[in-house]
Amino acid sequence: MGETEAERAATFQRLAHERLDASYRLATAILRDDSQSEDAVHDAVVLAWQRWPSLRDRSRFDAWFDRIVVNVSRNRLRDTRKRRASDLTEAPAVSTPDRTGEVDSRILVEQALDRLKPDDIVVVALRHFLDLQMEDIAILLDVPLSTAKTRLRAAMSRLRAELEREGLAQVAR
Amino acid sequence: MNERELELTLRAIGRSHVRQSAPPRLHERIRDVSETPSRSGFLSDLTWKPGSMFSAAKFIAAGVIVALFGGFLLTGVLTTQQDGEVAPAAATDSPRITYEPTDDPAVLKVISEPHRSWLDPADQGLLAIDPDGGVWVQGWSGKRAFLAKLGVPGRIGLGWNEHSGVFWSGTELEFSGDGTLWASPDGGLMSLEGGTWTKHDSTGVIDLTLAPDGVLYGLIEYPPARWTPDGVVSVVGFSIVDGEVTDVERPWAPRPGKVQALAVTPDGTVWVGGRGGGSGLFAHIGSGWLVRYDGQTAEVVRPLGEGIDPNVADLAVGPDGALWALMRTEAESYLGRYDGEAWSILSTADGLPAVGVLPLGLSAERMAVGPDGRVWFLKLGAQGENEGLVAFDGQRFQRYLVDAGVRDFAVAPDGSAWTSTGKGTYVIKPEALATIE
Repeated sequence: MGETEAERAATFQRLAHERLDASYRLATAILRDDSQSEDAVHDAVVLAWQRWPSLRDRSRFDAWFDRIVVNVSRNRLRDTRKRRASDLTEAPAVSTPDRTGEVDSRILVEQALDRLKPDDIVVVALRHFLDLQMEDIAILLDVPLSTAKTRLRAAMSRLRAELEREGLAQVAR
Repeated sequence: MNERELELTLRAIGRSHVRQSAPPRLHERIRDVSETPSRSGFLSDLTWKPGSMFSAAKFIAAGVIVALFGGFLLTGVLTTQQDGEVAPAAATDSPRITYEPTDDPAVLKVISEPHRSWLDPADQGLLAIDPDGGVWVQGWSGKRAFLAKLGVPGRIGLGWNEHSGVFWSGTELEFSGDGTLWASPDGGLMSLEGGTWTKHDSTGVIDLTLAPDGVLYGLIEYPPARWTPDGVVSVVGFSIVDGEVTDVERPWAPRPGKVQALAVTPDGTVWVGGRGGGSGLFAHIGSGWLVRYDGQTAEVVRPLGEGIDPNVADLAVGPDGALWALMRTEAESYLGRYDGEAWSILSTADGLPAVGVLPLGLSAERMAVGPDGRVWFLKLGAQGENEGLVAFDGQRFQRYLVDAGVRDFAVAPDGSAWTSTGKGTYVIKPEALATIE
């Protein structure tokens, strides 16, 4: 006998509630902005509910939903970049010298990270912000393990290049 | 910085940004979203039809706006029946809109359940009604602006300035006849596409107005926000229909001052109103001009008689095709109606509340005529302060929501007047007006 709409909604709600904290962690790691992350997870919930009938194996909900969150967050990074590129009112990013070198270098690394492609930012965030294993990252990106490793290497290489360009340098290879 | 230091720095960045727990309102959103039938939630309300793109170069060469057409049709129909009831939409879930009485029997407070946590009642801005009668309200959550359709879960982020922390202060929100939503944030122009906004190359959009034939017309100051040496502001117009941009560049004789009103009557005549020249917030508030453009020539029109050039606060077109003009001179306020042959003029002696002046930066589009012919306009005080909404039924003027801080309003196809205010959303329904009358 088929599932009623109410039953489907109840199942979705339960699974989504259980996964929400983990999903929000993912979004905040990728987007580094609470408000953006909240919107991204909200959009992911809407998308997931729309696509809910297509998820046949509900035991795979967590990975399925996390992938949606990653994709939505990555798209938001792209949108943000487009807006920033076209936003004449936005002040140019300027690093503000800080009393501590640690904070200053963190700002420079974040700025360098912001100049990477969204795909690069995502893989760096998953590996270094969330400390995920490469196998888990491959699942989230929906790519083979070897591809995930290649992407991370390439992203880190581009990050180092950006840092060297900024003069924060001699980043050891 | 060596490899190890870089990794440690990245981890420190991660620690400063990664949040361990989702905010409670996200849990609320799960409930809201999943209480709509799957595949028919907010985003699936948007049905896409093919669009076409115009190159920026072509647009700039034409001297008007680049319009990227991305239309959508709303399949969810929000129809109001009796007070306190909302008819279920045919293609979506039942919108959860309820109404609460107010001290004024004609005015109802609108409660839109899914948006309780998003739509801060004290922080609403523009309001627009789509061709199907759906009511869209723009508001702020913190410093972020968003747009929500009443009764439907979900929201859409607004503005390209949200990431730079600039508070979104749009001046216009209008649907074109094809259902595309157009917004003018901070004088620019955006259209809603795929749940996200597309920014168009435009600055200084003063007014957007929907002509009787469904074409959306826009009005731009050019050069934007800048006076020419002789104190004359050039005017650029544009129209958007089915993805085609009609170049109506500078159709109107440039006049001193600032453009602030636009209307298109059914015969295709374009009317542009403005205020007099000068500078300062309230400079020359009692003078201005009205220009009529028939596609060939532009001519100055003087509804109050020769030698009198009033400040034209706003223009609107009634269902009978008549043009309405809200005007002010130094000494008096006027509401004019032009039926194609002659002007009829009402003043404060006829009960018209004194028309205030629009401070610079506020939208000029503050008058509308409903399908029943009732004229609605915002009542502004002498210093531009908001003093509620005024309705004129052809016989008398009635004021509503005097102390609510009405920010914007729109008239629905059924004649209801919906308002966004500093205290939430309110609606004045035609049946309530009929009862009072």
